[in-house]
Amino acid sequence: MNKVAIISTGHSRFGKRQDKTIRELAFEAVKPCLEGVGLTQKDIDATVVGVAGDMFAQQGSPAACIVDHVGLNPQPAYRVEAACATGSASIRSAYGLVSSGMHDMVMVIGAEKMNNVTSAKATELMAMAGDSKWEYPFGVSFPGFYALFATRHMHEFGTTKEQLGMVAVKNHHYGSLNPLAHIQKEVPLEEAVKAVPIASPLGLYDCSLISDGAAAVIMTNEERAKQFEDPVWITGIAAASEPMLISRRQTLTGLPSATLASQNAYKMAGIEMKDVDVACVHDCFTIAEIMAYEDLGFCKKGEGGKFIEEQQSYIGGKMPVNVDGGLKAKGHPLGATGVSMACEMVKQLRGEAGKRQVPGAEIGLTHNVGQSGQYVNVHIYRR
Amino acid sequence: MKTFGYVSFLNQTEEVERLLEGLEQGKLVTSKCSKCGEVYLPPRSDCAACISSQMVYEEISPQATLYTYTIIHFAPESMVKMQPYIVAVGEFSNGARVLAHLHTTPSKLKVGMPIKLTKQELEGDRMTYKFVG
Repeated sequence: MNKVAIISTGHSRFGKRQDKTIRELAFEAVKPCLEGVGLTQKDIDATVVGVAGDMFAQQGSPAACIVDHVGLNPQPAYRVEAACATGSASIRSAYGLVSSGMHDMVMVIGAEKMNNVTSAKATELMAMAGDSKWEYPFGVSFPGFYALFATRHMHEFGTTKEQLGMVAVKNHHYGSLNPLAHIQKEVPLEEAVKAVPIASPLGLYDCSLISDGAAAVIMTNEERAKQFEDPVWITGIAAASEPMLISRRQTLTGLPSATLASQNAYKMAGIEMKDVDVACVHDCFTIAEIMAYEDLGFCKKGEGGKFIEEQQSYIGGKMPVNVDGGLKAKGHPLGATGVSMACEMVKQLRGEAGKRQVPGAEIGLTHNVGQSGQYVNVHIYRR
Repeated sequence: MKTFGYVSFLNQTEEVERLLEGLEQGKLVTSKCSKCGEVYLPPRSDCAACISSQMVYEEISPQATLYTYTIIHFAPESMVKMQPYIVAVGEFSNGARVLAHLHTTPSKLKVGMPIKLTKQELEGDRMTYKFVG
């Protein structure tokens, strides 16, 4: 396989963006992605578009619409979907196109427009990603699925509601330093812990945001990458999957698929976990970040709560995690999220992350999860 | 035959009907692959382990223990009128687990508590299963 690099990134402001539809959001990410490296649409050989839900955007087959709006016709284009892991799955697909030699220069656009519908409807659309035969008929919301993990994690390891709240506090702290974040304000621990219950034990501040936004990257091979400044290499790329039904999982205290994917990604990159300097993990809910610490090997199984309590996931700790604010504060426009993680890694490894820069970061990890673990992508980035 | 679930949008397949028939008679029915022995609860018509469709339906005890739970306070649009409700995963003696609503006093909720899966008749010629405990 040929080596693959990211040579440029673009990122819209995340938030409740009633000023734009999905196509204009995508434009906001694509324009700086092209112009930042002096390219035009003609330089792009193919486009992969990640959009998780066409019922959110109220546009069937949204890739066609987006590719037209940003002027990437007549080159090949298609859509990738892997629920909340859509963005990283799109990068994985583009990696295959470039590493195989099929295309030299591929644009990846991740986008989602979620605020076209009410939050009750958004909860409904996400619940429809639960098993339509045996889960949807019981009205299991997405916070509900992760709450089932949280209750079990608390039971087996004594993880506390305060520890969940500490994840929210950290991610809102870093979100306050990210000018593109959906929410840019600090949240006190007491407010996080006492927030209105959504699916107990998870409250409002344990849940990520329903956001609109887009992110884009340009990926290319080694020969072309050398013509650009500061390419960031994808040195490890691995994925795994979990059974559909929550009731058929081996465990409800973590995602074995995430452990498998991370081990394969470390191996492919020729590194160990301890070599990673900065990570973006899938904190769709605070419990998901705590489980990610354990699944990815940042701490021992069952010690995720202690890891955040000791502030080990802050800059200066053992493993800075979600210093862009994460899904929790930066926001979670489903299809954009995995691509946004890649954008943050490029910024961090180039030393361009400003107030939230991890000093001297050389190796970065992204962990993007679809649904409740059905899709997991772990990527390793290196300058 | 009644329609399964509080809400649903799928056509109803054979293994769902077998499960409902069992529930009507107070039985909990699993499907077991006659080739490799894999057991499915809720039942499936096809075996993912050995790619066979030769299933036999076997009854198991409806007694379970509470594996995990949540109280849904903010429900999907189609279920808003029922909120709040308890969604639970119960574990049976054969190790299989099932997700369903749990009808109990919230103050009694505790992982490991004994619960039992029973039928629940619903309006509009529908039915489902629920845990009671």
